[in-house]
Amino acid sequence: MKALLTTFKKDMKLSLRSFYIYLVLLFAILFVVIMLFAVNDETELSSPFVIYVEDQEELKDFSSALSEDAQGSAIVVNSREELIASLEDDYTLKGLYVNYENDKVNIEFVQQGYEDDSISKMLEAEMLGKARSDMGLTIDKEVTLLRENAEKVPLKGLLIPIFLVMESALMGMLLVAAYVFMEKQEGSIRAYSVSPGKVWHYLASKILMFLVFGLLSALFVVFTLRGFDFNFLQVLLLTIVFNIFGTLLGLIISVFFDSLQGAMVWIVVIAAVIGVSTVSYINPSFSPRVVTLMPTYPMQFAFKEALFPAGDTAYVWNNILGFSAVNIILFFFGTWLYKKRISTF
Amino acid sequence: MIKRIITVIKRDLISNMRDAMILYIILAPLLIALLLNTFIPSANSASFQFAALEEDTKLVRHLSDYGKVEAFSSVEDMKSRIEKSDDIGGIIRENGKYSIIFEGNEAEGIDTAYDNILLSFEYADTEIPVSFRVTEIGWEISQVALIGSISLIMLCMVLGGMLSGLNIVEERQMKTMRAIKVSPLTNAEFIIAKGIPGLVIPLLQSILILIILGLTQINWGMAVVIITASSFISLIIGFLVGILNDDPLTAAASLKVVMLPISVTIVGAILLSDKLQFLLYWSPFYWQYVGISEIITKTASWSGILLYSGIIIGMTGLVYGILHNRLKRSFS
Repeated sequence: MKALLTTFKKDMKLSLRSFYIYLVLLFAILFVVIMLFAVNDETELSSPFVIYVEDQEELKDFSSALSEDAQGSAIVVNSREELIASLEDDYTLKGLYVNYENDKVNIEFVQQGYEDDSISKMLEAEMLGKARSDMGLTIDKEVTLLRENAEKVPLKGLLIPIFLVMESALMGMLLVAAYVFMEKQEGSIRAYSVSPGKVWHYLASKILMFLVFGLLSALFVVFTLRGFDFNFLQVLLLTIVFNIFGTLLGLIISVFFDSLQGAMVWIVVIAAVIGVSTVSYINPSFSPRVVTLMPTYPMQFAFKEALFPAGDTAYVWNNILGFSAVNIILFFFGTWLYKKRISTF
Repeated sequence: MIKRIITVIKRDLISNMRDAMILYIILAPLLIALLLNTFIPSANSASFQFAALEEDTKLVRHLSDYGKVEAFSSVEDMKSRIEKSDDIGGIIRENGKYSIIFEGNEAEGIDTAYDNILLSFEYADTEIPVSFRVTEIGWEISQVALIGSISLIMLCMVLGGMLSGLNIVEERQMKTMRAIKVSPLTNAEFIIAKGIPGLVIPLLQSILILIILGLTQINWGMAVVIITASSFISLIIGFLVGILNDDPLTAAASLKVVMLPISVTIVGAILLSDKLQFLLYWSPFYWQYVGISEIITKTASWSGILLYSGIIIGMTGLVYGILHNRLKRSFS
């Protein structure tokens, strides 16, 4: 244990000499500032509609209902030509043109062309649904909520778990390789192998060092943005197991490469690929199997549950236990790998 | 001069080939582009997921018009599925009555959407005084493909810069800078030799990414101009990483710093309204984003592309100017 503590102290000293620690703090502060001043509670990721309703007596009610529904998310124009021009200028927009002809309200949904049929079908159901409701048509239904306390988390709140995963949890993945190669080049790993220190001490020391930085950034962000309104124990444990996972991943990748360049390419690319799970996290209806298999997918949802409890405590604990088990396996595997390859360092 | 530059490039190439790194740098963004290509169709759909009982084939068929349907043999299985992290709502039809099951944290308005879907199922044959038709203006490139391609091109810039930068760090670590200093190679030749891979590789990758993502109906001349100009960002990243850092740790940390303006630019360009886009004018990545975006959406003009390219080169030139003395000191 003493050897581990000595190695840890040495690693901490080394890291405090570099500007890395200040970078960790800078990122956390920047994130907090952006969250507090640049992102508002109402921010939504939806593309607005461009609407043109002909000035016809029969459409008065329809027009006011439509503008009320689309308040804030619609651009009202004065002709169909203007509507088309708006869509041509901005490929994210969709259009609605409404006129009254042959005793019917005719709705034309103008889309860009890349959209799937399900989008127009959905809008058709919405538009015709209003008409059906107006005619007094109803469905006999009963709605059950499996988690009564679950609430939709606003986009602003959803961003916190993304920071916690990509920055606080995975910081070691990107930087531990640099540590390993620096020590490789300086010959300190080989020197370490002939010292009383054990290989697992070497790995554990790196893990502990990044854990300190990870906890520092995570707790600063969480306390600043959420106050005390979250499950502290769960956030703490999740940060610990995820951070250890990230550092172990970085350590294992590093061992397979002879140069920092080679390892860094893989680490940057892996970080970019697993970052894709953020799309499914923000939009949970979009969850292809390949995305749900990425480790960052459960990480983000587990942090969300710990920060904004919806009643699924089991999910958080499953993650804590699951990642702990994976970490133990990775740690033994990593120790075995480093022992095996230390002579080549 | 050219011979000396080629010699340095060859030397780096051999060093980078040792662990096939150059191959990874070239292939990685292209593989991500292929992966992205498989996502694009589902990302352009309405993103609804439904759970239903497999025996109710008529309802399953109807729901599949609106999104992805998962059919279950029992209500219990259905409930366990609904409780998972993603958004999926369940619908059970029994004797003309519907039981709708949500987890509780689904997007706002989802219940109304379900009502409308069920109204269209239940009253499909009832005549209503409203007609609905769909037209298209013929634009087939989605936002996902656009943002994805620009993000990947930016990743190429980082990887290209990383290649140049880490090659310089290696020289410093191996103490070969002093040897270079007493060789006939001048500082300018050294910079050009170290910078060329960071300029050429991102350019080739960006072109391939556009092809992989099917974004071929564009003005290639404009694309080459803006990507070439953007490659200078890669060059500056390389020097920032390589020259200003003495060890791999700070070099890797610098790379992390570089990722920050890229992420801020992409997220800002998507989230900020037109009025607030000026907040991103400081970032050369923003001008790259705007330029490539306009080229893909076919709204670009030569004057615009030349202006954006000029701004990017001007900004990177300014950074180079500020770093000039530091660079000179580092070389010596």
